[in-house]
This record gives sequence, C-alpha cells and structure tokens, in this order.
Amino acid sequence: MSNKEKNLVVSLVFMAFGIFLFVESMGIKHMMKNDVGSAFFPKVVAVAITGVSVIRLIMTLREPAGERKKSNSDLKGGWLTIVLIAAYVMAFQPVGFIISTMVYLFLQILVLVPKEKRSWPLTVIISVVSPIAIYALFTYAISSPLPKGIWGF
Amino acid sequence: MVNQAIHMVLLNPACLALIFVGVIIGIIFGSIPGLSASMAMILFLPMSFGMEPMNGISLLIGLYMGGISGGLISAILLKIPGTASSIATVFDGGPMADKGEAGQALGVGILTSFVGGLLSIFALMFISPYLAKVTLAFTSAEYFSIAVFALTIISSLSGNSLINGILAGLFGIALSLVGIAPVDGAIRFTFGQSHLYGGFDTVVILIGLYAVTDIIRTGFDRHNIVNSQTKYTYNLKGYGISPKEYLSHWRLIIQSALIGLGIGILPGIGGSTSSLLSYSAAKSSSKYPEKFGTGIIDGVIASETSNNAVIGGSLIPLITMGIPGNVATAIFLGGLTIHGISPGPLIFQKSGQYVYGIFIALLIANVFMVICERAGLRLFVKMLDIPKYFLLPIVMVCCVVGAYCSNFSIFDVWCVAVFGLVGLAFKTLKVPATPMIIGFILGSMTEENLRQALMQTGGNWSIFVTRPISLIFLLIAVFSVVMTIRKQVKQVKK
Repeated sequence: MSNKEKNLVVSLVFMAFGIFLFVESMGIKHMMKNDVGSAFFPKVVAVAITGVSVIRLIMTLREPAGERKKSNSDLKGGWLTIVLIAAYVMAFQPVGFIISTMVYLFLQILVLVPKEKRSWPLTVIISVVSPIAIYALFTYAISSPLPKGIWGF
Repeated sequence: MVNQAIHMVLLNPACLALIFVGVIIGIIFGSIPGLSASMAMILFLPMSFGMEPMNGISLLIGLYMGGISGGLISAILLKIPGTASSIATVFDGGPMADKGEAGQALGVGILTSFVGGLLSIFALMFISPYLAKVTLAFTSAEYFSIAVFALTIISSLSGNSLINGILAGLFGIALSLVGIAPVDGAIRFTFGQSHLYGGFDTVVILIGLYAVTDIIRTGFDRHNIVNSQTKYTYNLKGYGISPKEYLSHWRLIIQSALIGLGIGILPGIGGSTSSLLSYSAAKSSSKYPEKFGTGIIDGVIASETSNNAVIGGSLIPLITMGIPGNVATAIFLGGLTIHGISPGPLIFQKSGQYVYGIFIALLIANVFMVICERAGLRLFVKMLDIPKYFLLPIVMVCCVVGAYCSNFSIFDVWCVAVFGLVGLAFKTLKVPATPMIIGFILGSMTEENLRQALMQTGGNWSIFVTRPISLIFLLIAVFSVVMTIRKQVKQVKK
C-alpha cells in the first residue's frame, strides 16, 4: 500500500468507528439529575474521532498519489503465525496448557526458523521442556494454576 | 515509615533477590533487539500480582532499570539499539566500535547510565513530596484539566504522524468507556458480554500491543530473523575511563540528566526522544560539534545519561498524580493498583512506606545494574547469540500465561490475541500505539473528574476556567493543539 492508501484506510475506519460509537451512545440512559450522564463523554469522544478522521480524509485526498512501495514482507510467515496464535488461544482452555503449548511451540518455531538452521532435536526438546517447566513454575512456585484440559494435565 | 520501608526492602533478602533477578532479566530483554524493556515488565506484571506488594513492585523496578540500560550493549556491539531508548547511543557507540574502542564505549555507557539514573532518583525523592503537597489542593476540576493536558501532549508528540497519534489516543479513550461507567454505574458498550462489565484490563491491552504484535511482525519478517550483523569484540578494564576523565564531562552529564528528567516528567515522550534530544543538545553545545558521529565518548554519555534519567522523572507524575507518561510507568501503575496502592497526592500519607520503599528499591536496582551489567557483560554479550526463533515463541507462551493468570479468565487470553492484531493493524497503517495505551488509562480519569466537578457545581462549566491551575493546564493544552495543527498544516504544504 502507498502512504496515501494507508491514510485513506485510517480515515475511513476511524470515521466508521466514530459514527458507531455515537450511535451506540444514544442508547445509554440518563440516570442522575445534575450529572451530565454516562452518554455525554462517549458522545464527545465519538464526535472528536469522527471530526479528526474527516480532517485526516481531507488531508489525504490532497496528498499526491505517492509511490506504491513493494513490500518485502513474508506473507506466508506472517499469516501462519497469526493462524497459529489464534489456534493456540482457542485450544488453551479445552485442550489444556501443556499439550496446546507443546504443539504451538513446535509449529511456531518451525515457521520462524530458516531452513538451513533447522534442528529437529533442539526444536522438540524446547517445545517439550518449556511447557512443563512453565507449568511447574506457575502451579507449584507461584501457585496460580493453569488450565488442565480434557486429560487432566 | 522510612523504617518500615528499610525493613521491607533493604533488610529483606527476598526483595533484594527479586530486584537482582529483575535487573538481570531486564538487561537481557533490553539488550536483545526484538525484545524490549516493556516486554519484560509486561511478562512479569501478572507474576508480581501474587507477591507481597513491595516484592512485586521491586521486581518491576529492577526490570525497568535493567531494561533501559541493557539497550546500550547491542547499540554498541551490533549497532542496533536493543531498546528504542538507546537509539542515539549507536551514533557514536557504533563508530567507537569500528575504531576498536567498543570496550570503552560499553564501560562508560554503563557508568553513565548509573549516574543518570542516580541523579533522577534524587530528583524524584526531593520533588515528589513537594509536588504531592501542591496537588493536595487539587480538585476534580484540576485533575480533569491535567488529564486533558496530558492527552494533548501525548498525541501531539507521537511520532511522525501527529493526526494518527490523536486518533490513536481517542481510540484508547473509547476503549476505556467499556464497562460500568463512573458516577452513576451505567453499563455501556458491553454488547451483552458479562466479561466486559469491568472493562478491558490494562495488562491485557499491554500484552497484546507490545508483545503479541511484535511476534506476529517477526513472522512477516522472518527472513531477517538471523542477525547478519557482525558482533564486535571488546576489550575492557574497569569502566574504561578514569574518574577524573569522566568527571571532566560534568557539564554534559548534568545537562543530559536534566533533559532526561524533564522528558520523563512530561507525559508521553519517553526514552527514545530523550536520548535523541540530549544527543543533539550535546552536539550543539559542544566546542567540537564536528567530531560527533565519528566515535567520541561525549555522544555515548549524552544518550545513556539521559535515557536512564527518564526513569526517575517518569515516576514523579505517576506517584504524585497517578499519571503514567510512558508504557513502563503504565505497567508500573498496574502493579501498584493491584496491591491497593493508589498513586496521588495522598500516597505519602496512605502508603508512605511503599513510596519510600520504591525510592530505596530504585537506588538498590541502580547499584545492582552498574555492578551486574559490568560484571556479567561477557554473559550478556553471549545472550545476544540466542536465536530469536526459539525465544519469541516462548515469549508468546509467557504472554498467554500472563494474560490468563491476571484474572484466570480465558476471555482475557482471547483479548490478548485480538489486541495483538489491533497493534499489527496500527503498525501497518503507521498509527502509533503508545497514545492509545495512555489514552486508555487517562480516559476514565478524564471522564470521572469531569463528571464529579460538574456535579459539585450543579452543571456549571465555568469551574474549569475560574480555578487558576485548571485554567493554566487547559491553556497549555489549547496551545499544544494549536501548535500541532500548525505543524501539520506546514507539513502538508511542503
């Protein structure tokens, strides 16, 4: 994306958010006399967001188109990381900390490590040992239990 | 109270050990590019919740102190700042390494970090009691105006895009509205989710924005994950400088410490700006400005003195008014409030022992830092070799564990992932994230004080301009907004 396109997205997303916030604020009831009410401040913030994003939009439209920089980011690596994190937080409670973390660590390291540096034994050791160490630390040393999951550990 | 504080910190082995551990972990997180001082503090924040109050706070202090100074190691040996605060250290530390003087740069950097930290801790100890006395007279009207002032400063100083900074700040305020409203207790913006009645947790937002986002970005940038930079070797005896030679730079040291202190007190600016500002001030006030950037010790002193002086400075508004100026103090605020210590003018009366405890812990952490970083330098340099593809996934696991343990709610874990994505979107679209977190914290403070002040006057808005201190802060706020707009207009015209 060029800078102009980025700014365009910013102004439109925040404008929509500002309007949404205002509409949502209208449903808040006024409860106390003498008080401006719980809807007042949200409305001010909503108007401010909408106003500033309109300014952003006007400024952006005046900008020259700008060059589209070819991004050299690794889309596959990024999206795989996002999917892994999403899957991990979903599985965290039902599957339990130890198993979900072992699987997550193993796959996440595989995603990040460059092919020529790949080491299966080290990856396996890290992804097995660290969840157990963290689990022991939190359960026994700090006494804040982590999710046990369906298999009871 | 001072006696109590000495017993809780200085004479308490557990507390001393936690400061020590905090400093070491802080230095490691600070020195490895890609891990940051804030990340270290965020990861250990939930753990500190379960500790004795003073122990938990001391751990955070150790992490803050170590994290800020650790950045100089990689700034000199890899020419990459390990934390943003050490940006300007690269300017002369890098060339010094080229000339084979990496050892001296490291030694002086560590030493001057200590001196900068020490001067700012003294300033904190002497200024905050007086400031607390002044703020004792503050009413809701003043607090409202100070919050507005802080918000405008934060937005107007955020990075290249001022207007995006303002939007981020406003977005943060919007997030603070979720849950039970102050004053009348109305429930708003929860969309039927009972998890949201208490609003979002600061810890959850911090973990998402400052840790998860960085890990996802590493995924998008994985071909750069292996450091291609050559690591310089160094040779160092003592701190690489004689006391006499070091003290001959006394004017520069004091100037840089004052800049760091001032930047620390002002909300929202942070260590990276202070090191840059102090570097350019050193250059322009020097008798030999042309030598800056070629590898002279003055550049390292300027940068490293001021970024550590930010520490004491940033704690002044936090302790006396409850206003966090940067991410580190926002985390610190979380650590204080969970233990029932509420920063503000009454903190010296209500929790005096903890305030003095914080002072003592800061002094100890500073001493530990200057000794450990020098003594363990070889080890910390080795740590730079730990591959990030092993470190970051483990950090991610710690993030999830931290989010879970702060409330034992799986909902918070999901929120961490969502805020990680929000942070990613912000980074991609060049919207700065720091104004958002400060806006989130100041948002509820703004609304609460606004409504309380108006209730007291029966809805009369003139209270904000008839009370002189409130008026002054509002005027500065207006001034900073006007300056922001002018600057932005000029930029567009160019």
